[in-house]
Amino acid sequence: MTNLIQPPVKVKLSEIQASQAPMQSSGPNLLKNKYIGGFMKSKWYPGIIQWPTLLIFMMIMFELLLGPSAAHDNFGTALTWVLWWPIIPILFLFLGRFWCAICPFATINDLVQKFAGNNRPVPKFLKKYGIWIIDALFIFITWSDHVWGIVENPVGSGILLMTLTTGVVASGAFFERRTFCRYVCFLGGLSGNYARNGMLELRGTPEICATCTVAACYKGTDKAQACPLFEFPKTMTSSANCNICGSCAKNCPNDSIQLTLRPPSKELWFIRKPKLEEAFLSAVIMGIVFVQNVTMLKAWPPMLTWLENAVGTTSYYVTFSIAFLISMLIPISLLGLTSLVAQKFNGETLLQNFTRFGYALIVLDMAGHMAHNLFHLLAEGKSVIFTGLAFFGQGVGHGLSTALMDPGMIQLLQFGLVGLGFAGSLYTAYRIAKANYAPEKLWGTFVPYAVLMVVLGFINVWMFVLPMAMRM
Amino acid sequence: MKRFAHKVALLFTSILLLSLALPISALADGGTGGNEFTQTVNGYQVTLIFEKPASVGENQIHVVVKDGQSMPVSQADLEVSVVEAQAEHVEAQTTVETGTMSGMDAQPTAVAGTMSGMSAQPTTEVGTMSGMSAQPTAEIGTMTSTSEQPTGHDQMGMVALTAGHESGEYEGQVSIESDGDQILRVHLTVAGKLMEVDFPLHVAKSKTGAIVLSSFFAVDIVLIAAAVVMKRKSVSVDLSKKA
Repeated sequence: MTNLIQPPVKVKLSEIQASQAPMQSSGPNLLKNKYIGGFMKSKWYPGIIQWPTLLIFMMIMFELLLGPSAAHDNFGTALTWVLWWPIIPILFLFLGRFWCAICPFATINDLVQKFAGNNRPVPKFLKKYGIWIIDALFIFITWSDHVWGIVENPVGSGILLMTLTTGVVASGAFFERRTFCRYVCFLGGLSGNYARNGMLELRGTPEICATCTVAACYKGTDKAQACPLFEFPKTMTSSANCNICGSCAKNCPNDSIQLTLRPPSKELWFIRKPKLEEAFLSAVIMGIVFVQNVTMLKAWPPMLTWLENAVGTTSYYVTFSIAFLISMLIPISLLGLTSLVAQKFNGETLLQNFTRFGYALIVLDMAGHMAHNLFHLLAEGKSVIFTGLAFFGQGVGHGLSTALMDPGMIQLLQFGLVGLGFAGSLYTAYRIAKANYAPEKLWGTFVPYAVLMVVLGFINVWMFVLPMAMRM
Repeated sequence: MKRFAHKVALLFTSILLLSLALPISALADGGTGGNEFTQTVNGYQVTLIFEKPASVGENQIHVVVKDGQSMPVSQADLEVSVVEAQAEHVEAQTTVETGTMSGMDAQPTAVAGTMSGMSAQPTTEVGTMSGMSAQPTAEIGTMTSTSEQPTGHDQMGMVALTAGHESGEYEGQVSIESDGDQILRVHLTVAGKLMEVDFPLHVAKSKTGAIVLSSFFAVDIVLIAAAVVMKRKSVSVDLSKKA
């Protein structure tokens, strides 16, 4: 199943400039390693990981929808929200968007496409508004998780997964390649943003690609499918839409593809064409981390009661929506306010500053996200074992602690992560300022964003100081 | 060889899609035998009535309390909670730590002095006569601190029942979050004395999951079928043009 060959796609090579950036990593090409390169270029990759993942996904789906109705007894819930969800940002950091190469939804997309695919071009509105759609979906799913209890309710989790399945079935049935993954999937949007901060970078070799007229990486050959996420390594300057599937490496007749390691956040220092929707998404992710943390605090019920009294209704839809909106608005408005100050020093507009420096938040986003999920992974981790044993008919676990680690140690790790994220965001803001402004404007631009990072870092630390309740 | 691989892949896809629909047949088990249960404690006859068979989710219940002379008791305070039978069994002797498997969002257990001879079925030992807010172990109705609690639920998942239409009748809504064996515990206070009555229940497995699965499966099949039809149409148009 590795050769899901796509029909040829017209590529106007005249439009493609050999624009490999100065930020290209110069580390050793991992594809030259006989083990890594051999594996990635073999017909077994990524199928050998993809198919078992699909089987596990099917098991999870059945367990969620047909298994125990209580989340704390459901193996599917534990695997999804205690194991997979906390691990996924760690994967993004070390392996970029690799998860998308083995994602079961993508596999279903490819399967449906192979047998029923119409391979129509991506609708223009998706190309134009894709990230905004992802932004909206991400916000909606987070909101609905809280008001309808997706995580706490196995059937709710099942509905979410089945909705995504239907999305990829529709996409695979009618549209080319992985349209859904690139333009609609909320996790794809998240992983795209995080992959920019990731440590893996796949690019074409500029000197080789400059003379290439085949574009086999983009079009596909009988060796492997075309790039499923519509990337063209010749002009790629970002890892946001590279899932390290290895297709380009298999297809390239000139052995141009390089896979290198890079320091985290390096790509963010030189974003050539920053996009407002991507910067907005990074602020939204920060807001989502705030929401997830706030609603787990033991101080949340009193806050909710206060809100109920303030607005005069006990409707959770209303009170949570207000709290949600406030949490979202905090990072967005703080970024906006900082951009307003920065524009006085660098002469660019508020929107230009917002767009450019929004990317600097990604590092802290990722750290906050990982720190939050660390709590689930380490404080509830044994629930995976207990529910797993129960799934196989072994009734142990009731009454036993689910913690893998002492709460104090977890908190220490959380502070460490947020500290690293803060430092990373601070440095990224500095590098963005340095790369885009003359020396006399550098500090005037950087200092307001440094203050912003301090404020956001402080909010993150403060939330991890407060006692938290478990959700599972 | 390629055609064979194609057929194998097609077969696998069919099995994959079919397997999504199969478990529908492995659905709900029995459920409660009836909607009405009666227990006697200290001479009081307590009858629990479910308006509909107990199921996962919100359940409207009525509790009728009568004294030894079968006269309705109208001046009682009633609270109910739902306890997972298995968790109850395990937690009889120990205080629950934060983050245990049974009710991972940590409901602290209250284990204190006994109420001598107060309860016909003393499943958990309750606090002293004053401060009777017996903190139940592993409340099923309070899975998370984030979910909305219906009116009448307190912080610990206890639901206070209100007086019903008839004398000695009390009613309210109780949330059951798990299927399988459960215990509905009635905390009955008459003339300052607290009694607990346990009603073992077997809650039927919800059909919601199977309905969701089959609905999505049907939509997916329709989408694939539509795509196949449209694909064939486009091929036939091309052929006619060529001809």
